[in-house]
Amino acid sequence: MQQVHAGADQGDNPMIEVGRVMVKTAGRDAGLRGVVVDILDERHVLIDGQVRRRKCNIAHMEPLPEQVSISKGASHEQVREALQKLGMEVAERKAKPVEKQAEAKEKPGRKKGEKKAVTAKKKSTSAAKQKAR
Amino acid sequence: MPTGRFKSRSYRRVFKKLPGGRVTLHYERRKPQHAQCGSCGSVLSGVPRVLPYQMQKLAKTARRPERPFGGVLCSRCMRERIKGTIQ
Ligand SMILES: [Zn+2]
Repeated sequence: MQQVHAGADQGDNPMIEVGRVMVKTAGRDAGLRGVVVDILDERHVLIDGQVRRRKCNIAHMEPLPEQVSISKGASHEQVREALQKLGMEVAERKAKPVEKQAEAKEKPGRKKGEKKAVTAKKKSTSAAKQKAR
Repeated sequence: MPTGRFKSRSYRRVFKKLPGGRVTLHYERRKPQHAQCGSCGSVLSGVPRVLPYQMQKLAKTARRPERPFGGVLCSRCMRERIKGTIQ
């Protein structure tokens, strides 16, 4: 009887709690590790770590015996430090500087890169030519 | 008379209606088999059943699912394998 309940209602799974280390078993991030950062409802949690920070169904992940001490809603940096103590490498995610975000808003779709810079130059030169004509 | 290679049934026959109303016979290569899971043999979803040269024209993301073992294992077998590697 107990097993039936455990299978039917995953929200009561005692393994699912803030700070629990888990492996994603579905989708693009499958096989990557992360931490439960927040519990959204009986079925969904917020995860972060090697995986992308996002909402996740409990059925799409597998909890591990390890646990880290983080507060509810911890930032990516805090999660990263906690996982590195366990010996898990988490790639650093660069936050966009405020100035560049403002630039991106002005010119949508343009990012820092040679190719795009070249096209931008071309555009500027063609615009100059048109003015000359 | 068709060329020798068209006499065998390794090419399929397609009747094409031309703009002038005339119907001609075209010979096309048969489609390859469905992609199958390397573990359980079930048909893989998300892998198009097209000729290799058409596959090359597709984007990499259109050729197979974007997940570990995508296009090799079905999602169930992939999940089992990942659970097996834990610990
Ligand atoms: Zn399979």
